[in-house]
Amino acid sequence: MGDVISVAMGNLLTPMVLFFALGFIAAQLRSDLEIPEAISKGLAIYLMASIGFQGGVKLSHAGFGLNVALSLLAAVALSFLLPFLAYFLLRATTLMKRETAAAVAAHYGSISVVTFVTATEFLNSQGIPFEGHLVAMMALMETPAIVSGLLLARRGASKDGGGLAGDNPQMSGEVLREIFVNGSVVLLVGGFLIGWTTGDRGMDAVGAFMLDPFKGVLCLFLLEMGLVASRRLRASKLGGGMVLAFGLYMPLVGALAGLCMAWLLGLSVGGATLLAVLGASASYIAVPAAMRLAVPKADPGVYVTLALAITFPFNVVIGIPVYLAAATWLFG
Amino acid sequence: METFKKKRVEIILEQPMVRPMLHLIEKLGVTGYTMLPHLSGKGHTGERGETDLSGALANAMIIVITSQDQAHRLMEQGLKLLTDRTGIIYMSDVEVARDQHF
Repeated sequence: MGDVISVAMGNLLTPMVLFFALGFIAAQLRSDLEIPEAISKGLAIYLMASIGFQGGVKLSHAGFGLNVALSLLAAVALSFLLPFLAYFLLRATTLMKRETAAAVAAHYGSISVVTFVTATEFLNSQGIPFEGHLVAMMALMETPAIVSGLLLARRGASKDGGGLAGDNPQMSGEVLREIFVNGSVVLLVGGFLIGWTTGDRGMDAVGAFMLDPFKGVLCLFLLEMGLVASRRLRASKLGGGMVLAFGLYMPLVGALAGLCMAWLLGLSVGGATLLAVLGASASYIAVPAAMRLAVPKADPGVYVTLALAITFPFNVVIGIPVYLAAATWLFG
Repeated sequence: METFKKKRVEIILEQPMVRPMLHLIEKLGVTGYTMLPHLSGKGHTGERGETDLSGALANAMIIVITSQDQAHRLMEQGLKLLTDRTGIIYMSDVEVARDQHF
Protein backbone atom coordinates (compact mmCIF):
# COMPACT_ATOMS: atom_id res chain seq x y z
CA MET A 1 0.00 0.00 0.00
CA GLY A 2 2.89 2.30 0.90
CA ASP A 3 4.42 1.65 -2.51
CA VAL A 4 1.15 2.56 -4.27
CA ILE A 5 0.94 5.86 -2.37
CA SER A 6 4.56 6.68 -3.10
CA VAL A 7 4.08 5.92 -6.84
CA ALA A 8 0.87 8.01 -6.86
CA MET A 9 2.68 10.92 -5.18
CA GLY A 10 5.54 10.50 -7.66
CA ASN A 11 3.01 10.84 -10.49
CA LEU A 12 1.60 14.05 -8.97
CA LEU A 13 5.05 15.62 -8.96
CA THR A 14 5.99 14.89 -12.57
CA PRO A 15 6.41 17.94 -14.83
CA MET A 16 3.54 16.62 -17.01
CA VAL A 17 0.96 16.60 -14.20
CA LEU A 18 2.27 19.86 -12.76
CA PHE A 19 1.95 21.62 -16.14
CA PHE A 20 -1.59 20.27 -16.41
CA ALA A 21 -2.31 21.63 -12.92
CA LEU A 22 -0.79 24.98 -13.88
CA GLY A 23 -3.13 25.30 -16.86
CA PHE A 24 -6.12 24.21 -14.79
CA ILE A 25 -5.41 26.72 -12.02
CA ALA A 26 -4.60 29.55 -14.46
CA ALA A 27 -7.99 29.14 -16.14
CA GLN A 28 -9.80 28.99 -12.79
CA LEU A 29 -8.08 32.28 -11.88
CA ARG A 30 -9.30 33.68 -15.23
CA SER A 31 -5.75 34.28 -16.41
CA ASP A 32 -5.43 35.39 -20.04
CA LEU A 33 -2.85 32.63 -20.62
CA GLU A 34 -3.60 30.78 -23.82
CA ILE A 35 -1.80 28.68 -26.39
CA PRO A 36 -2.69 29.73 -29.95
CA GLU A 37 -4.89 27.15 -31.61
CA ALA A 38 -2.50 26.50 -34.48
CA ILE A 39 0.30 25.76 -32.01
CA SER A 40 -1.81 23.40 -29.90
CA LYS A 41 -2.83 21.56 -33.07
CA GLY A 42 0.84 21.36 -34.06
CA LEU A 43 1.73 19.93 -30.64
CA ALA A 44 -1.05 17.32 -30.94
CA ILE A 45 0.17 16.34 -34.42
CA TYR A 46 3.72 15.95 -33.11
CA LEU A 47 2.60 13.79 -30.17
CA MET A 48 0.47 11.50 -32.33
CA ALA A 49 3.10 11.08 -35.05
CA SER A 50 5.80 10.44 -32.44
CA ILE A 51 3.88 7.93 -30.32
CA GLY A 52 2.76 6.07 -33.47
CA PHE A 53 6.33 5.99 -34.76
CA GLN A 54 7.78 4.83 -31.42
CA GLY A 55 5.22 2.00 -31.20
CA GLY A 56 6.01 0.88 -34.74
CA VAL A 57 9.75 0.77 -34.03
CA LYS A 58 9.06 -1.34 -30.92
CA LEU A 59 6.96 -3.76 -32.95
CA SER A 60 9.76 -4.05 -35.52
CA HIS A 61 11.85 -5.51 -32.67
CA ALA A 62 9.19 -7.87 -31.32
CA GLY A 63 7.75 -8.95 -34.68
CA PHE A 64 4.11 -9.37 -35.77
CA GLY A 65 2.70 -12.67 -34.48
CA LEU A 66 -0.63 -14.24 -33.62
CA ASN A 67 -0.64 -12.56 -30.20
CA VAL A 68 -0.38 -9.14 -31.85
CA ALA A 69 -3.20 -9.94 -34.29
CA LEU A 70 -5.40 -11.15 -31.42
CA SER A 71 -4.57 -8.02 -29.42
CA LEU A 72 -5.67 -5.81 -32.29
CA LEU A 73 -8.97 -7.68 -32.61
CA ALA A 74 -9.45 -7.47 -28.84
CA ALA A 75 -8.90 -3.70 -28.96
CA VAL A 76 -11.65 -3.28 -31.55
CA ALA A 77 -13.97 -5.49 -29.49
CA LEU A 78 -13.26 -3.54 -26.29
CA SER A 79 -13.95 -0.21 -27.95
CA PHE A 80 -17.14 -1.54 -29.54
CA LEU A 81 -18.52 -3.16 -26.38
CA LEU A 82 -17.70 -0.57 -23.69
CA PRO A 83 -20.35 1.93 -24.88
CA PHE A 84 -23.12 -0.62 -24.28
CA LEU A 85 -22.03 -0.94 -20.65
CA ALA A 86 -21.67 2.83 -20.30
CA TYR A 87 -25.12 3.39 -21.82
CA PHE A 88 -26.70 0.87 -19.46
CA LEU A 89 -25.08 2.55 -16.44
CA LEU A 90 -26.13 6.02 -17.57
CA ARG A 91 -29.72 5.01 -18.21
CA ALA A 92 -29.89 3.13 -14.91
CA THR A 93 -28.42 5.87 -12.74
CA THR A 94 -29.30 9.20 -14.39
CA LEU A 95 -32.23 10.93 -16.08
CA MET A 96 -30.15 11.60 -19.19
CA LYS A 97 -32.03 11.50 -22.53
CA ARG A 98 -31.41 8.49 -24.77
CA GLU A 99 -29.57 10.40 -27.50
CA THR A 100 -27.25 12.15 -25.04
CA ALA A 101 -26.62 8.91 -23.15
CA ALA A 102 -25.74 7.15 -26.43
CA ALA A 103 -23.35 9.94 -27.39
CA VAL A 104 -21.70 9.96 -23.93
CA ALA A 105 -21.37 6.15 -24.11
CA ALA A 106 -19.58 6.41 -27.46
CA HIS A 107 -16.98 8.73 -25.90
CA TYR A 108 -16.20 6.17 -23.20
CA GLY A 109 -15.62 3.34 -25.69
CA SER A 110 -13.15 5.49 -27.58
CA ILE A 111 -9.83 6.64 -26.12
CA SER A 112 -7.78 9.70 -25.24
CA VAL A 113 -4.39 9.78 -26.97
CA VAL A 114 -2.98 12.29 -24.48
CA THR A 115 -3.95 10.13 -21.48
CA PHE A 116 -2.25 7.17 -23.17
CA VAL A 117 0.88 9.20 -23.97
CA THR A 118 1.03 10.51 -20.38
CA ALA A 119 0.74 6.92 -19.12
CA THR A 120 3.59 5.74 -21.38
CA GLU A 121 5.81 8.50 -19.99
CA PHE A 122 4.78 7.53 -16.47
CA LEU A 123 5.75 3.90 -17.16
CA ASN A 124 9.04 5.00 -18.71
CA SER A 125 9.81 7.09 -15.62
CA GLN A 126 9.17 3.99 -13.47
CA GLY A 127 11.35 1.83 -15.74
CA ILE A 128 8.40 -0.44 -16.61
CA PRO A 129 8.48 -1.83 -20.18
CA PHE A 130 5.37 -2.35 -22.33
CA GLU A 131 4.54 -3.94 -25.67
CA GLY A 132 4.93 -1.73 -28.76
CA HIS A 133 1.69 -2.88 -30.35
CA LEU A 134 -0.31 -1.17 -27.61
CA VAL A 135 0.01 1.93 -29.80
CA ALA A 136 -1.69 0.15 -32.68
CA MET A 137 -4.38 -1.07 -30.27
CA MET A 138 -4.92 2.55 -29.24
CA ALA A 139 -5.30 3.69 -32.86
CA LEU A 140 -7.84 0.94 -33.53
CA MET A 141 -9.85 1.87 -30.42
CA GLU A 142 -10.47 5.44 -31.61
CA THR A 143 -13.54 4.79 -33.69
CA PRO A 144 -15.44 1.46 -33.25
CA ALA A 145 -17.21 3.15 -30.33
CA ILE A 146 -18.72 5.67 -32.75
CA VAL A 147 -20.57 2.78 -34.43
CA SER A 148 -21.82 1.53 -31.05
CA GLY A 149 -22.94 5.05 -30.14
CA LEU A 150 -24.87 5.31 -33.40
CA LEU A 151 -26.52 1.92 -32.83
CA LEU A 152 -27.57 2.99 -29.33
CA ALA A 153 -28.83 6.36 -30.56
CA ARG A 154 -30.73 4.69 -33.40
CA ARG A 155 -32.39 2.34 -30.93
CA GLY A 156 -33.41 5.33 -28.84
CA ALA A 157 -34.55 7.30 -31.88
CA SER A 158 -36.77 4.48 -33.18
CA LYS A 159 -38.39 4.17 -29.75
CA ASP A 160 -38.98 7.90 -29.51
CA GLY A 161 -40.09 8.21 -33.13
CA GLY A 162 -37.29 10.68 -33.87
CA GLY A 163 -34.81 10.61 -36.74
CA LEU A 164 -31.05 10.56 -36.81
CA ALA A 165 -29.00 12.78 -39.05
CA GLY A 166 -27.03 9.66 -39.94
CA ASP A 167 -30.05 8.45 -41.93
CA ASN A 168 -29.38 11.18 -44.50
CA PRO A 169 -27.01 9.65 -47.12
CA GLN A 170 -24.80 12.73 -47.24
CA MET A 171 -24.45 12.83 -43.45
CA SER A 172 -23.78 9.08 -43.39
CA GLY A 173 -20.85 9.71 -45.72
CA GLU A 174 -19.53 12.40 -43.39
CA VAL A 175 -19.80 10.09 -40.38
CA LEU A 176 -18.08 7.23 -42.24
CA ARG A 177 -15.27 9.61 -43.16
CA GLU A 178 -15.01 10.56 -39.49
CA ILE A 179 -14.85 6.87 -38.50
CA PHE A 180 -12.26 5.63 -40.99
CA VAL A 181 -10.09 8.56 -42.00
CA ASN A 182 -10.27 11.11 -39.20
CA GLY A 183 -6.95 12.87 -38.77
CA SER A 184 -5.84 11.25 -35.52
CA VAL A 185 -6.43 7.69 -36.79
CA VAL A 186 -4.57 8.42 -40.03
CA LEU A 187 -1.64 9.93 -38.16
CA LEU A 188 -1.39 7.24 -35.47
CA VAL A 189 -1.71 4.33 -37.91
CA GLY A 190 0.54 6.06 -40.47
CA GLY A 191 3.24 6.88 -37.89
CA PHE A 192 3.03 3.32 -36.58
CA LEU A 193 3.46 1.80 -40.06
CA ILE A 194 6.39 4.11 -40.80
CA GLY A 195 8.06 3.15 -37.51
CA TRP A 196 7.40 -0.55 -38.11
CA THR A 197 8.73 -0.41 -41.67
CA THR A 198 11.86 1.62 -40.95
CA GLY A 199 12.68 0.19 -37.49
CA ASP A 200 16.03 1.16 -35.95
CA ARG A 201 17.20 2.74 -39.20
CA GLY A 202 14.23 5.11 -39.02
CA MET A 203 14.84 5.83 -35.35
CA ASP A 204 18.48 6.68 -36.04
CA ALA A 205 17.34 9.05 -38.77
CA VAL A 206 14.59 10.96 -36.93
CA GLY A 207 14.96 9.98 -33.26
CA ALA A 208 16.49 13.35 -32.36
CA PHE A 209 13.21 14.97 -33.40
CA MET A 210 10.68 12.22 -32.72
CA LEU A 211 11.97 11.13 -29.31
CA ASP A 212 14.14 13.71 -27.54
CA PRO A 213 11.72 16.69 -27.35
CA PHE A 214 8.76 14.39 -26.60
CA LYS A 215 8.47 15.06 -22.85
CA GLY A 216 8.77 18.83 -23.24
CA VAL A 217 6.12 18.92 -25.97
CA LEU A 218 3.84 16.75 -23.82
CA CYS A 219 4.23 19.25 -20.95
CA LEU A 220 3.17 22.13 -23.20
CA PHE A 221 0.21 20.16 -24.54
CA LEU A 222 -0.86 19.22 -21.02
CA LEU A 223 -0.70 22.91 -20.09
CA GLU A 224 -3.16 23.54 -22.93
CA MET A 225 -5.30 20.60 -21.78
CA GLY A 226 -5.39 22.05 -18.26
CA LEU A 227 -6.59 25.40 -19.62
CA VAL A 228 -9.21 23.81 -21.88
CA ALA A 229 -10.51 21.34 -19.27
CA SER A 230 -10.76 24.03 -16.63
CA ARG A 231 -12.58 26.51 -18.90
CA ARG A 232 -14.96 23.77 -20.03
CA LEU A 233 -15.68 22.86 -16.41
CA ARG A 234 -16.45 26.48 -15.59
CA ALA A 235 -18.83 26.83 -18.52
CA SER A 236 -20.61 23.52 -18.01
CA LYS A 237 -23.97 22.51 -16.61
CA LEU A 238 -23.84 18.74 -16.22
CA GLY A 239 -27.27 18.46 -14.64
CA GLY A 240 -26.87 16.21 -11.64
CA GLY A 241 -24.46 14.55 -9.25
CA MET A 242 -24.93 11.12 -10.79
CA VAL A 243 -23.78 12.44 -14.18
CA LEU A 244 -20.67 13.86 -12.54
CA ALA A 245 -20.18 10.58 -10.66
CA PHE A 246 -20.36 8.69 -13.97
CA GLY A 247 -17.35 10.67 -15.20
CA LEU A 248 -15.43 9.39 -12.15
CA TYR A 249 -16.57 5.77 -11.83
CA MET A 250 -16.82 4.89 -15.52
CA PRO A 251 -13.01 5.15 -15.97
CA LEU A 252 -12.63 2.58 -13.18
CA VAL A 253 -15.17 0.28 -14.87
CA GLY A 254 -13.40 0.71 -18.22
CA ALA A 255 -10.01 0.10 -16.60
CA LEU A 256 -11.30 -3.13 -15.06
CA ALA A 257 -12.54 -4.26 -18.50
CA GLY A 258 -9.11 -3.39 -19.93
CA LEU A 259 -7.35 -5.39 -17.21
CA CYS A 260 -9.60 -8.42 -17.88
CA MET A 261 -8.76 -8.16 -21.58
CA ALA A 262 -5.04 -7.83 -20.73
CA TRP A 263 -5.25 -11.02 -18.65
CA LEU A 264 -6.85 -12.89 -21.59
CA LEU A 265 -4.13 -11.59 -23.93
CA GLY A 266 -1.28 -12.35 -21.51
CA LEU A 267 0.12 -8.80 -21.55
CA SER A 268 2.97 -7.61 -19.31
CA VAL A 269 2.35 -5.34 -16.30
CA GLY A 270 3.18 -2.29 -18.45
CA GLY A 271 0.95 -3.49 -21.30
CA ALA A 272 -1.91 -4.27 -18.90
CA THR A 273 -1.60 -0.79 -17.35
CA LEU A 274 -1.83 0.82 -20.78
CA LEU A 275 -4.82 -1.30 -21.80
CA ALA A 276 -6.50 -0.30 -18.54
CA VAL A 277 -5.75 3.34 -19.42
CA LEU A 278 -7.29 2.82 -22.87
CA GLY A 279 -10.40 1.27 -21.31
CA ALA A 280 -10.60 4.09 -18.78
CA SER A 281 -10.07 7.08 -21.05
CA ALA A 282 -12.69 8.89 -23.09
CA SER A 283 -12.36 10.64 -26.44
CA TYR A 284 -12.65 14.42 -26.68
CA ILE A 285 -11.45 14.99 -30.25
CA ALA A 286 -12.70 12.40 -32.77
CA VAL A 287 -15.98 11.33 -31.17
CA PRO A 288 -17.54 14.74 -30.32
CA ALA A 289 -17.37 15.84 -33.96
CA ALA A 290 -18.88 12.54 -35.17
CA MET A 291 -21.66 12.66 -32.59
CA ARG A 292 -22.43 16.28 -33.45
CA LEU A 293 -22.87 15.25 -37.06
CA ALA A 294 -24.88 12.10 -36.49
CA VAL A 295 -26.88 12.70 -33.30
CA PRO A 296 -27.86 16.38 -33.30
CA LYS A 297 -30.30 15.99 -30.40
CA ALA A 298 -27.53 14.82 -28.04
CA ASP A 299 -26.21 17.59 -25.79
CA PRO A 300 -22.52 18.31 -26.58
CA GLY A 301 -22.19 20.33 -23.36
CA VAL A 302 -22.64 17.06 -21.44
CA TYR A 303 -20.44 14.69 -23.43
CA VAL A 304 -17.55 17.08 -24.03
CA THR A 305 -17.53 18.18 -20.38
CA LEU A 306 -17.59 14.64 -19.01
CA ALA A 307 -14.79 13.38 -21.25
CA LEU A 308 -12.61 16.47 -21.16
CA ALA A 309 -13.18 18.16 -17.81
CA ILE A 310 -13.99 15.23 -15.50
CA THR A 311 -12.56 11.95 -16.81
CA PHE A 312 -9.38 13.29 -18.40
CA PRO A 313 -8.09 15.07 -15.25
CA PHE A 314 -9.15 12.11 -13.11
CA ASN A 315 -7.14 9.68 -15.25
CA VAL A 316 -4.05 11.89 -15.54
CA VAL A 317 -3.83 12.79 -11.86
CA ILE A 318 -5.24 9.74 -10.04
CA GLY A 319 -6.15 7.01 -12.51
CA ILE A 320 -2.80 6.15 -14.11
CA PRO A 321 -0.96 5.21 -10.87
CA VAL A 322 -4.06 3.37 -9.64
CA TYR A 323 -4.22 1.30 -12.86
CA LEU A 324 -0.49 0.54 -12.55
CA ALA A 325 -1.01 -0.58 -8.95
CA ALA A 326 -3.93 -2.82 -10.00
CA ALA A 327 -1.93 -4.30 -12.91
CA THR A 328 1.07 -4.91 -10.64
CA TRP A 329 -1.16 -6.59 -8.06
CA LEU A 330 -2.87 -8.78 -10.68
CA PHE A 331 0.03 -9.58 -13.03
CA GLY A 332 3.20 -8.71 -11.13
CA MET B 1 -19.49 53.12 -61.55
CA GLU B 2 -21.85 50.36 -62.64
CA THR B 3 -22.84 47.84 -59.95
CA PHE B 4 -24.92 44.64 -60.05
CA LYS B 5 -27.55 43.53 -57.53
CA LYS B 6 -26.94 40.20 -55.78
CA LYS B 7 -27.95 38.41 -52.60
CA ARG B 8 -25.54 37.78 -49.74
CA VAL B 9 -26.39 34.66 -47.74
CA GLU B 10 -24.71 34.18 -44.37
CA ILE B 11 -24.86 30.92 -42.48
CA ILE B 12 -23.60 30.65 -38.91
CA LEU B 13 -23.39 26.99 -37.93
CA GLU B 14 -21.59 24.42 -35.82
CA GLN B 15 -18.02 23.73 -36.92
CA PRO B 16 -18.68 19.99 -37.64
CA MET B 17 -21.51 20.98 -40.02
CA VAL B 18 -19.25 23.06 -42.27
CA ARG B 19 -18.36 20.24 -44.66
CA PRO B 20 -21.96 19.08 -45.23
CA MET B 21 -23.04 22.70 -45.83
CA LEU B 22 -20.19 23.36 -48.27
CA HIS B 23 -21.13 20.14 -50.06
CA LEU B 24 -24.69 21.47 -50.43
CA ILE B 25 -23.43 24.85 -51.68
CA GLU B 26 -21.34 23.17 -54.38
CA LYS B 27 -24.20 20.83 -55.30
CA LEU B 28 -26.43 23.86 -55.91
CA GLY B 29 -23.88 25.19 -58.38
CA VAL B 30 -22.91 28.28 -56.40
CA THR B 31 -19.56 29.42 -57.78
CA GLY B 32 -17.84 30.58 -54.59
CA TYR B 33 -18.00 31.06 -50.85
CA THR B 34 -15.94 32.33 -47.91
CA MET B 35 -15.65 30.31 -44.71
CA LEU B 36 -14.64 31.80 -41.38
CA PRO B 37 -13.74 29.02 -38.90
CA HIS B 38 -13.51 28.97 -35.08
CA LEU B 39 -16.00 31.65 -34.10
CA SER B 40 -17.65 32.22 -30.77
CA GLY B 41 -20.92 33.84 -29.78
CA LYS B 42 -24.19 33.52 -27.92
CA GLY B 43 -27.68 32.62 -29.02
CA HIS B 44 -30.81 30.78 -27.91
CA THR B 45 -28.77 27.61 -27.23
CA GLY B 46 -26.37 29.52 -24.96
CA GLU B 47 -22.72 30.45 -25.38
CA ARG B 48 -20.64 28.76 -28.03
CA GLY B 49 -16.92 28.97 -28.64
CA GLU B 50 -13.58 27.23 -28.50
CA THR B 51 -13.82 25.52 -25.14
CA ASP B 52 -12.91 22.06 -26.38
CA LEU B 53 -10.47 20.48 -28.82
CA SER B 54 -12.92 18.83 -31.20
CA GLY B 55 -14.62 21.96 -32.52
CA ALA B 56 -17.99 20.44 -31.53
CA LEU B 57 -18.76 23.52 -29.45
CA ALA B 58 -17.39 26.13 -31.87
CA ASN B 59 -19.18 28.01 -34.61
CA ALA B 60 -18.17 28.87 -38.15
CA MET B 61 -19.61 31.26 -40.73
CA ILE B 62 -20.10 30.72 -44.44
CA ILE B 63 -20.68 33.73 -46.68
CA VAL B 64 -22.09 33.31 -50.17
CA ILE B 65 -22.83 36.03 -52.72
CA THR B 66 -25.01 34.81 -55.54
CA SER B 67 -28.08 35.41 -57.69
CA GLN B 68 -31.52 35.79 -56.17
CA ASP B 69 -32.68 32.35 -57.38
CA GLN B 70 -29.62 30.53 -56.06
CA ALA B 71 -29.86 32.40 -52.76
CA HIS B 72 -33.47 31.30 -52.24
CA ARG B 73 -32.60 27.69 -53.06
CA LEU B 74 -29.68 27.83 -50.63
CA MET B 75 -31.88 29.35 -47.89
CA GLU B 76 -34.48 26.61 -48.34
CA GLN B 77 -32.14 23.61 -48.50
CA GLY B 78 -29.64 25.01 -45.99
CA LEU B 79 -32.46 25.41 -43.49
CA LYS B 80 -33.36 21.73 -43.94
CA LEU B 81 -29.75 20.76 -43.20
CA LEU B 82 -29.88 22.78 -39.98
CA THR B 83 -33.00 20.99 -38.67
CA ASP B 84 -32.53 20.15 -34.94
CA ARG B 85 -29.21 21.99 -34.94
CA THR B 86 -27.74 25.20 -33.66
CA GLY B 87 -27.34 27.72 -36.47
CA ILE B 88 -28.86 30.67 -38.31
CA ILE B 89 -29.19 31.47 -41.99
CA TYR B 90 -30.16 34.83 -43.43
CA MET B 91 -29.75 36.92 -46.57
CA SER B 92 -29.45 40.54 -47.54
CA ASP B 93 -29.12 42.70 -50.66
CA VAL B 94 -25.68 43.67 -51.87
CA GLU B 95 -24.21 45.30 -54.95
CA VAL B 96 -21.09 43.90 -56.59
CA ALA B 97 -18.67 45.41 -59.08
CA ARG B 98 -17.94 42.31 -61.16
CA ASP B 99 -21.11 40.53 -62.26
CA GLN B 100 -19.28 37.61 -63.92
CA HIS B 101 -17.77 36.49 -60.58
CA PHE B 102 -21.17 35.44 -59.22
